[in-house]
Amino acid sequence: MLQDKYVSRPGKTCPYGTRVFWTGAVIVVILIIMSLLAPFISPADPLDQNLSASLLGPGAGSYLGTDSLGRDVFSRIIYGSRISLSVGITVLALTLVLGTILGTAAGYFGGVIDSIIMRVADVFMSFPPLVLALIAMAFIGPGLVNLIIILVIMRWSQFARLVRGQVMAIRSEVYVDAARVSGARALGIIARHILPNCMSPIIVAGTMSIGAIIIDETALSFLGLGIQAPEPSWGVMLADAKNYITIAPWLVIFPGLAVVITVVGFNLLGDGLGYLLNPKQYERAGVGRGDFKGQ
Amino acid sequence: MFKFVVKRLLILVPVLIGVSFIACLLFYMIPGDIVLVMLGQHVDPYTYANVRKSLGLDIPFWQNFLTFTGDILKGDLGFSYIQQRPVNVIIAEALPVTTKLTVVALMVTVLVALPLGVLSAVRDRRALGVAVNTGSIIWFSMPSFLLALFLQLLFGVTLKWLPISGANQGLLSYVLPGLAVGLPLAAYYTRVTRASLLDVLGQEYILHAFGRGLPYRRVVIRHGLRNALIPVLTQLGMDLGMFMAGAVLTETVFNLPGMGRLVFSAINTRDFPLLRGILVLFAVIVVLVNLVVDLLYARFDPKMAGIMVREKTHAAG
Repeated sequence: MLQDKYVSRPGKTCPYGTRVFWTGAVIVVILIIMSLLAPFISPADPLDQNLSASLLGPGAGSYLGTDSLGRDVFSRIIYGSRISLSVGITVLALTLVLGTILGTAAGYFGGVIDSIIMRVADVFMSFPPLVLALIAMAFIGPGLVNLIIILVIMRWSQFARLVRGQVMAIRSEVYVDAARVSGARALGIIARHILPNCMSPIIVAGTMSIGAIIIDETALSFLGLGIQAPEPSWGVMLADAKNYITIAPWLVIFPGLAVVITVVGFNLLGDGLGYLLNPKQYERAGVGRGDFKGQ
Repeated sequence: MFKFVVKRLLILVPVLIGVSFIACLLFYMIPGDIVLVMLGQHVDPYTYANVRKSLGLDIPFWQNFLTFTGDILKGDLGFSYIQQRPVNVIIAEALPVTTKLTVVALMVTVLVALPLGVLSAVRDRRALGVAVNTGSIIWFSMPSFLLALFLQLLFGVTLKWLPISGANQGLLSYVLPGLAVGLPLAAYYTRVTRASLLDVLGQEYILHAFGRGLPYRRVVIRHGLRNALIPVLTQLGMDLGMFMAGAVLTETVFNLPGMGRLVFSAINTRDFPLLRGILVLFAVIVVLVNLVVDLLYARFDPKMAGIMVREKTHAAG
C-alpha cells in the first residue's frame, strides 16, 4: 500500500521504472555472486550422495533438506545457478550476435537479402518453440553444447526481426542520409550511426529473454533432454523431485522457487530498463510490449 | 482485399517448403547411422535395407526432400516403423487430448485476462497498473510445467480436490493442466488487454461518446472493449503455438495421453519418423492458424489489409 502512495506522487520519490530496475538488478547481482562463490557458500558437495540421510526434511542438518540420494538440496540449488546463468548468458550472446548480423543485413540492404533472411525466419517462427527444441534434441542427443545450439536456433529469428524493424526505421533518418552522401561506407554507417541508435529495445528484449532461456533450459532438462543427471541443474532436480511429490514436497518447492526468483529477477531488470531507456513509449502504452514472453 | 488474400497465400508456400526442408534435414542430423540408432547394432541386413529405404535414405537428399514435401501436401506424414502404423493414425489418437487441453487453457487465459485487464485499465490507473505490471511479470516468470507441479502439490496432494494424473475423469482431469498452461499466459494477456484498452480509451471517438452523455459502462464496453479486443485476439491466434507447446509439456506432468506423451514414447522408442511427423503437424497448424488470423484481421479492419500488403510487398523487395 505504501507503494501505491509512492506511485501516485511521481517525482517525489523514486519512480516506478527505477524501482523495478533496482529490484531486478539486486536479484540478478545476488544470483551472480551466488554462482561465482558457489564452492564457498554451499555447505556440501552437490554431487555427494549419502543414502542413509536421504529425503530429510528442511532444517535437520541441511537447510533445505536432502533428495532421494541424500544430496544436499541447498548446495545443489547454488551450483544449479551456475548452469542456469551460464546457459542463459551464452545463449543470449550467441543469439544477439546472429540476430543482429542477420537483422541488420535484412533491414539495411533490403531487397533479395531481406526476403531470404525473413522467409527463413518465418520458417523458424512457425514451429512452436519448445516443441522444436524437444524434437531436435531427441534427434541430435542431449547435452550442454547441443542444448545451447538448439536454444540459439530457436530464438535467433525473434531478434533478427526486432533488429530489422529498428534498422529499417533508422535507415531513413536524415542523419543516415547525411552520412551516406558524405561518402561513408555501408559498414561504417551501420556501425557508427544505425546500431548505436537501435540498441535500447534490443537490450530490453535481450535481458527479458535471459529469463525465457532459463525457463527453456529448465524445461528441457526437466524432460531429460537437456542437462543430464547427476549435474545439479534445476530442471534435473525438478524431474527427480516429481517422483517424490507426495512424500517430499520440499524437493519441488525449493528448486521451483529458485527458477521463479531468477526469471523474475531478469524480467524485472528488463522491464525496468525498458522504462528507463524508453519512458515515453512505456507511458503511452501503459506497459512494455511484453517482450518477455517466450515460454 | 483479394490482392491481400492472394499475397498472404503466396507467402505460405516458401514457409511450408522451409518447414519440410528442416524436418527432412533432421534425419541427417543424428550422430551415427540413424537405422542402427533406431534398431540397435545387431540388425539383420534385410531389415536394415528395408528401413533405410522406408526412411528415404537410399536416395539423394534433394530427392528425399521432394518426395517428403509431396507426401506432406497429400496429408501423409510418414510411416512409423516401430509401431508399424501410419503416423497419421497414431497422431489422430493423441491429438484430441491436446486439443481439449489447449482449448481449456485458452478459456482460462481469456476468462482471467479480459476482466483483469479491463478492470486495471478502467479503475485507478496508477495503483492497479503497477499491480498488474509487477504481478504479471512475477506470474509470467512461472514456467507452465513448474506451475503444474505446484498445482499438483496444492490441489492434488494437500487438498485432494482434483485428479492429478490421467484423463479418465472427464473434464475434471483437464482443470489443473488447463490452469497450468493458461494462467502464466493470462498474466501476459492481462497486460496486453490493459495496454490495448488504454490505447483505445484515449481516442477521440471515446471522448465523443462520453460527450454524447452515454453511460460510462456502455462506452467502455461497446466502444472501447470492442475495438481493444482486435489486437488481443490477433495476438492470441499468433500465440496458439505457445499454447500448444505448453500443453505438450504439461501433459507429461499430468500424465495425459496426448501429443506430449506421444512425443516422449517416440523419444524412448527412437521412433524418428513419428517425431518428424509431429513436428511437421505442429508447424502446419501454426502456419494455418496464423493465416486465418491474418485474414480475419483484414476482414475486421480493412485498413490493416492495405498496410499489410504494402509491408509484405516492401519486404519482398
